[in-house]
Amino acid sequence: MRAGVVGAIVAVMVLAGVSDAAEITAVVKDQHGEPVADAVVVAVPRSGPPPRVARPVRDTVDQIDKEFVPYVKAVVVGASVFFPNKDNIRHHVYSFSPAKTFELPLYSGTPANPVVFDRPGIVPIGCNIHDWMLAYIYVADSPYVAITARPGRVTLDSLPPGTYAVRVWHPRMEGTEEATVRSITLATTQEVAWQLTLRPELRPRRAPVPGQRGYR
Amino acid sequence: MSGTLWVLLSLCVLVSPLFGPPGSARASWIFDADAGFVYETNVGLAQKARDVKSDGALSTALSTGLAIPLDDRSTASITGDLSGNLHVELPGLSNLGVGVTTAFRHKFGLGPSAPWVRVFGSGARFEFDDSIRDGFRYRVGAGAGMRLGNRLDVRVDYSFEEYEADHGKVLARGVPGDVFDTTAHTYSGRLDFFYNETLSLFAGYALRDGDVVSTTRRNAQIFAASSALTADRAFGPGFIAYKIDAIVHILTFGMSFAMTSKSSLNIGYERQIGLGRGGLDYYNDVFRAGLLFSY
Repeated sequence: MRAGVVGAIVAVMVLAGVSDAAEITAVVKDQHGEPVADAVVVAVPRSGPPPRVARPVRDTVDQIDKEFVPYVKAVVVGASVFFPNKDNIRHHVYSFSPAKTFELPLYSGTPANPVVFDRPGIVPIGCNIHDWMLAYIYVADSPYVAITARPGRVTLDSLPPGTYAVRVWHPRMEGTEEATVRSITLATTQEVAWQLTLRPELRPRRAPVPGQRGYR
Repeated sequence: MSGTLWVLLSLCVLVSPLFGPPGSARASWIFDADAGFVYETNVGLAQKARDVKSDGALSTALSTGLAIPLDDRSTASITGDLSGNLHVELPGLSNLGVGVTTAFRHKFGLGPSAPWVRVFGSGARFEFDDSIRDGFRYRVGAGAGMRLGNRLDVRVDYSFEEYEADHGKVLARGVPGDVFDTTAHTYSGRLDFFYNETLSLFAGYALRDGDVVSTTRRNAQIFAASSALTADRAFGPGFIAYKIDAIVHILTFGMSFAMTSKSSLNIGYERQIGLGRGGLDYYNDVFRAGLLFSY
């Protein structure tokens, strides 16, 4: 009797675990079959109530050794992002993006107020002193968002079972993000692969060029 | 300014980063180093084939100092500059230089495509193996540029240069010996094409209007056209350095490979076409290869 009760509990837990543990493992490669890091993968439910934000609403993009860290940051609509300057020189952070236009004039340390990203979209950010400094903030319309690591993989976990529109974006990809959308019905775990065509990176070069003086 | 004072001032700027910039959160270090090899097919800028001498030199330069953002769009800088050239065939041309450069740069707007202007002034003391060329070089100039799209940088520059040599030995009665006291105006334009994140190509044109020192054996044509002359032992016995007035067209091509985010490998070619007064034309091809490091 007692063993039967325990078995039933375990069975319910397993079933519950199965039904709640849906996840998508995204694999992103480039046109040469090489893994792509810094690709944003977003899953948006096709139906049902809008997903509730289950991520920290405060985030940071650092400035270290005259570079933004990380190169790509994914946040959810409504997130507040701080831009700590960890160099011992001053930076001037800005964006022209329609999704968020802002400017943090020449500063050191961490500005008191974060920048609130209240519209979905892609927000390239730069430094007006050091033109090579470039990073991207992806403002997602779903909390199911993550960025591929160096092996070109990332897992979106804890997704409720259902049907999702899953898409991929990368700063150097050819074509549109919409063209990458896949409709995926999740029951448990699924691996999905994308192959992106990447362009060369064409941000202002940091390495010295003869006869040029950079920002000086 | 005396030579000693000049050298002391330069050294002060050079070593200033070792003691920390004033207001460490305001200024950033500048540390640029350049090392390479330069080969010239007509190092004496001679007109006649019998006088043409080619030579190569190991070349190195070091600049260090401070860049100070003045506001959201303006940066001032001051650097101490050291340079050295070690010639292979003509050791008398080997030299060391020490100097100071100050500059002010302003961007008209936000972003990498915003146009900019830059003005600068510099002074340097040069000491040669053959001391007849020892002297001070002063430069002032201004430039402007902008980025066109994602792949092109364009810039135009103007500079004025004056060289004041220590020596001016008179070789011929009635003819000045201050051959190396020269002035010149240079107007230039340049285009950089960024093929990808590591490779860039550049091409430029400059027009230099002013004095040129041409070293040749004695000849009547250049004697008649020159405004000064003196014996030039760096090129060997019988060679005379003449100061002539010339327009020089300079075409430059090169490519730059980014090795890291702070260093690059560079090769370049320069064609100098000198059109001297009195039909004294010359050509010089300059080949460069070297490494650049910029902190």
